[in-house]
Amino acid sequence: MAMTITLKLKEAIMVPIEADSATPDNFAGNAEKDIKAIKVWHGNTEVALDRLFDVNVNGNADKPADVKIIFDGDMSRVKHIGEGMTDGEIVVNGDVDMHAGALMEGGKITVKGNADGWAGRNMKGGELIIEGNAGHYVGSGYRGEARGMRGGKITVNGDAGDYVGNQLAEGEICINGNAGLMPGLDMRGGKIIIDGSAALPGAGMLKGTVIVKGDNIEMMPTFGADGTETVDGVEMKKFVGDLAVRGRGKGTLYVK
Amino acid sequence: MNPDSTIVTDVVCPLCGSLCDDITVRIENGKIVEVRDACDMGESKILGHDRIKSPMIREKGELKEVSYEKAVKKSAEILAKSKRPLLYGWSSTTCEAHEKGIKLAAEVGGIVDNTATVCHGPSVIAIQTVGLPSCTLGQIKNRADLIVYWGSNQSQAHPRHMSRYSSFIRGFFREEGRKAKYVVVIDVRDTTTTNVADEFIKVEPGHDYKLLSALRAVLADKADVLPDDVGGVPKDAIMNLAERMKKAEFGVIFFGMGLTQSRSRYNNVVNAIALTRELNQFTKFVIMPMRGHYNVTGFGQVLTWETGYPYAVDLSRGYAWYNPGETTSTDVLNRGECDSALIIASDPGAHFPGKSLKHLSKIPVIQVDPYHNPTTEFADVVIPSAVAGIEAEGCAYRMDNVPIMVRKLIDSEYKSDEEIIDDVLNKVMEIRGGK
Amino acid sequence: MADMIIKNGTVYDPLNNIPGEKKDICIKDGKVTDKIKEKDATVIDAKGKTVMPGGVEIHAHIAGAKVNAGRLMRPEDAWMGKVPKGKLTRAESGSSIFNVYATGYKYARMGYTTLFEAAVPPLLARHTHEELEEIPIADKGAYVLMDNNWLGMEYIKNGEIDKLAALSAWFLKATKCMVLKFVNPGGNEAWGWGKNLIEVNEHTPHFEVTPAEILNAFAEVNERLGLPHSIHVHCNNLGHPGNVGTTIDTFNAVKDIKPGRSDRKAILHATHAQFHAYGGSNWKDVESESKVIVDYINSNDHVTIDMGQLMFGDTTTMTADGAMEYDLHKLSRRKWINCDVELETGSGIIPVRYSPKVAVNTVQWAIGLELALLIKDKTKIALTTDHPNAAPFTKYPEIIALLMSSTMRDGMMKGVHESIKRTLLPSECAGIELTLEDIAKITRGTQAKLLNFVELGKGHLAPGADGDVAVYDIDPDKLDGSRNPDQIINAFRKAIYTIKGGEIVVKDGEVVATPMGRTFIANPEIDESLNKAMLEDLTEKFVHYYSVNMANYPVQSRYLRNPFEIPLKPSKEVA
Repeated sequence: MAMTITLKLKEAIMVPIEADSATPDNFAGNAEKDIKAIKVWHGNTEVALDRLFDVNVNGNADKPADVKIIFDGDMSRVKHIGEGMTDGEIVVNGDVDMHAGALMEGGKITVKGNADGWAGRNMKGGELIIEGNAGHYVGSGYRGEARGMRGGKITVNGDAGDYVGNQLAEGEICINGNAGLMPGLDMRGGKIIIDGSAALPGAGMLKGTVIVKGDNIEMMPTFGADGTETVDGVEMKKFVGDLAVRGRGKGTLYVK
Repeated sequence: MNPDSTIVTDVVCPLCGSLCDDITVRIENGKIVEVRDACDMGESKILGHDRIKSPMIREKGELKEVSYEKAVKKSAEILAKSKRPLLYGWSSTTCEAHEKGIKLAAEVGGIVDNTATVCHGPSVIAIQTVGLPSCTLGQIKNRADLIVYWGSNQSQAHPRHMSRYSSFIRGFFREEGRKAKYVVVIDVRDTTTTNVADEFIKVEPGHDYKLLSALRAVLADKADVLPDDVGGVPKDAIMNLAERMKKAEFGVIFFGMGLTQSRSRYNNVVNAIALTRELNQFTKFVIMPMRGHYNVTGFGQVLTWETGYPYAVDLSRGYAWYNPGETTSTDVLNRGECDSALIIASDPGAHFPGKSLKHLSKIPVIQVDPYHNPTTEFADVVIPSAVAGIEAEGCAYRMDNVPIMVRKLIDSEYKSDEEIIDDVLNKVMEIRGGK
Repeated sequence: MADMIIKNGTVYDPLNNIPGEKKDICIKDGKVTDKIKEKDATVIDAKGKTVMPGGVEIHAHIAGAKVNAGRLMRPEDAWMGKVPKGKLTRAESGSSIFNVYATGYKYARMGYTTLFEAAVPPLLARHTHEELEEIPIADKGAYVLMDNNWLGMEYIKNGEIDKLAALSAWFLKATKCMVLKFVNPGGNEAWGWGKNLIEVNEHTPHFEVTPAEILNAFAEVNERLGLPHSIHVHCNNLGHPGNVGTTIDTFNAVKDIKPGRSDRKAILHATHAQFHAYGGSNWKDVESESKVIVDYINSNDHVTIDMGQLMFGDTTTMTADGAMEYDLHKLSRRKWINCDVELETGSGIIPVRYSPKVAVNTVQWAIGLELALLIKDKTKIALTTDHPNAAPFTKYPEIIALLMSSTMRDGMMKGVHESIKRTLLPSECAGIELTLEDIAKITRGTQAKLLNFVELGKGHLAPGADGDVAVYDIDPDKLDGSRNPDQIINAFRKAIYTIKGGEIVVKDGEVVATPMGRTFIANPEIDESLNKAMLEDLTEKFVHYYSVNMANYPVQSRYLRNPFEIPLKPSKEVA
């Protein structure tokens, strides 16, 4: 059994839609008319999915693993896509707004375009692929939390904004382009790999690994040099820190 | 002296976050004619200036005078039909008005936010990350022997702060006043505050975070990893400052927008707080944000007890959602998310980025304010209000969270912010009830 | 408001010696009365249900600077506990620190109708009242912190007790509070320099007075002023292994003071006693010394306590004891707020997670229960969690179940740290189960008695009492609490009815009305010349050392919409 649901916005919108209910978990086991009636938030109003989207349902499925959702077109005004999903697949043929894949526990999300801020926030498992660029706070946590992302994998093919993996506890984040300011800020575990450049990587980190492969790196002054190591076949300088954290930071930072 | 003249003492100045409460004013024939002991900015505000005369509604591009009732009704209609209204400002009015405003935001399912969004919002996020070892200002007055101003030009932004609470004031354990204190200024440039400092440390713009980390590393006996220069500050100057901080009996860091609005914003504050925290292993050390508007702090207090969060609260889904960077006014406007705005007791027209203003010019905007300002230029409904703290009383919170009641000194022909918001709220409920 | 009759319920009204009787409760004009005309009345059928007076909270941090700073620091806590607005209710937030609306609703859902905020820094009292005014439903009051008051310490040093009484009266009036509260007396002043006091005979820097001297002097003042409650004390040395000695020294420090009024024997209420009953010398060997406290309370009448029961899970600690919060921060390194208040007191806040796998947390959990199980006279101990310090108040139903069900305790003891062996819970407490009558005492009767609010109509249901009633879904005839702890938890979590001043405010666990309650205040009278002499000294403090002018200091009357002045019974020296 398998079900594919295609969602296409009926018209361009100004006020963002919050589509956290449009997940494989909520669609599985539902008939077409029930799926169309699932409520999403449009500003301060809750409306049926098919008021805002053309909803096309193909096949049926009992469990989220068998559900594939295709968001067709520009979703740059649709927030919380795939939030909290535990299984199944979401493909977005365009850009997405904030919180794509936030709190995700399993399954796979592919964003063909760019993602706005907080993609994969508080992610626990599953895979999030952003083929374009990502905004700030990729794989971060919520305000005030000590631990953010706890598992899963995020890949950004383009560039990412500031604070990639802020509060990262477990899991892996790969940025194939450049990262902005302070990737791995206050991280406590997990791994961040940046192919391009970054500013002040690993600031405040306690544990975990940050690898920055690009040439253009602004370093924190509070990391201790610890020789060289070969990472992915390339010899890299190894640093330990952030020693600003009461001299106790034991994170590993590799740079070229 | 004029026989009709009245002297009022212990007046609270409704201008900046210092909330000086030792002002004397002379009132003649219902007008304030003299202000004593305030700074120039405070005096000018208390004496008053040009006011919006009448409620107005924009028709065919022109603001036309209308009745108060009509302006309230129009405002309510705009808010009641909005999907994502923004209710912004609040920092120059009373907590009583804040409570009504938050109730209105809850009723219309909007975003409610104040000027913290463009000043000390980053300080709030920092407190949420690491906390805040602090105290009330009297504690600093009586005890501090080391005062550090970091990215904060006190003498300009809070002219009487140094003479009332910090550098110059004599305190119980600091009878010699300024002589008993060592004052350090850390900033990207020489300011009027550096003139009164014992030491000025110049840091390169955007490098405060690294300098703070370096100080923390020194406290942790990891000075050996530091390069010879961090952000333009020589290593020995960093070592000296760390030593001075450790040896103080009671140290304080006051920080301003030099920290909150430069590169890595709230994380600069996180790092400054972490430094302060770690200094408590050696001595007593506290830190305090230099809040701007006189009641920017109060709005944060009210919004927090009402909703759980101090600014940038989105009530559209019936519960409160707080996420600076998303629900902060400039972000909501830059992204063009909201479909109407109520602006009260602040002037985004003068302080918001161009992109935000562009969106404001596209959507219906309601302004509640005593004064004409750049926001009036694009407002669609304008409701003049009494000046809180001069013509209307209520609660305000000083930068150190000490609540003080601002006074009503003279009568006004205008309603207070609290009354206006209440009228709009009642009208909204009437409209929605009729649906 | 219509008259009301609550029929056929089983009534627990221990202060009137009603230990579970089938009885009707009539309410007219908001007060309990003998009889009403049933045909005009709202009739509530409480057959097979438990009926108690409205609950009374004697010690919680629900409003003011500290509480709000805790909320501000913890958006993650707010988010966890979100509840959307309803037709009648505002949006709720918080899982350990609730917004004002959630505070009012959650207490009301549990059948509580009277709340006391336990720590008001005088300089920030206006803030406390701003929040209390926004908490719906319950009647409220607040305790003012006098622990490290500069002028107070000077008077004590100089032996000027008369002036100390005048000063206390001034602060009560200026802050619109009704109880004198002491947190880490002398220690917060030391914390102004990053230091602390541990023992009751240590001297605070500069002012050179000891905690014992501070408490003894204020206890005498409290009796002279005829305040309803005794002094309310958070002892020095909170939370440290081996602190029980400090606690007993504190009790002994006021033993010579005689009660000023005949309706109360207690001179000192030691709050959250759980935090003050530790043996051992470090975090690893910490053990329960609850027996020392229990024996003392069982054989002395001048001290009463509340539990400060700790429950496992995430919460937020907040107290005027700034030094202690810094100690906690050093243990966990979690985010930490401190706010010292000039010339008066201190405060600190940090988030905490209590775990059954941690030795000290296990011992702490056991101690609170031991105190409630082993103290004989249940009108000397009140149920509290020192909300939100040892747990949020929303855990009360579980605590009630733990006290009523030894089976539940046995079950939980299987999953805790082996340090449980260093407590009395598996041994002396085995098999002890409190009755519904005991529960009615420790959740309302005791509180009303200790606060002397019985005459004011709280904590009981005799004619003249406030029409504050809770109806719980427990049929005492059928209840086997030991085997059905879940039934107890569910019943106390969601009252079938909560009635406040004769109005139904909760039905089937849902809020159905949100009236605003009263705020209790105390206005002690002071001899005019004595007051004048004190004011000269106090004015000096304002002119030179406070950062606020004296004229702007007292809480203006506009901050209380519905103040209620409680009658005092001053002794002759002052009146």
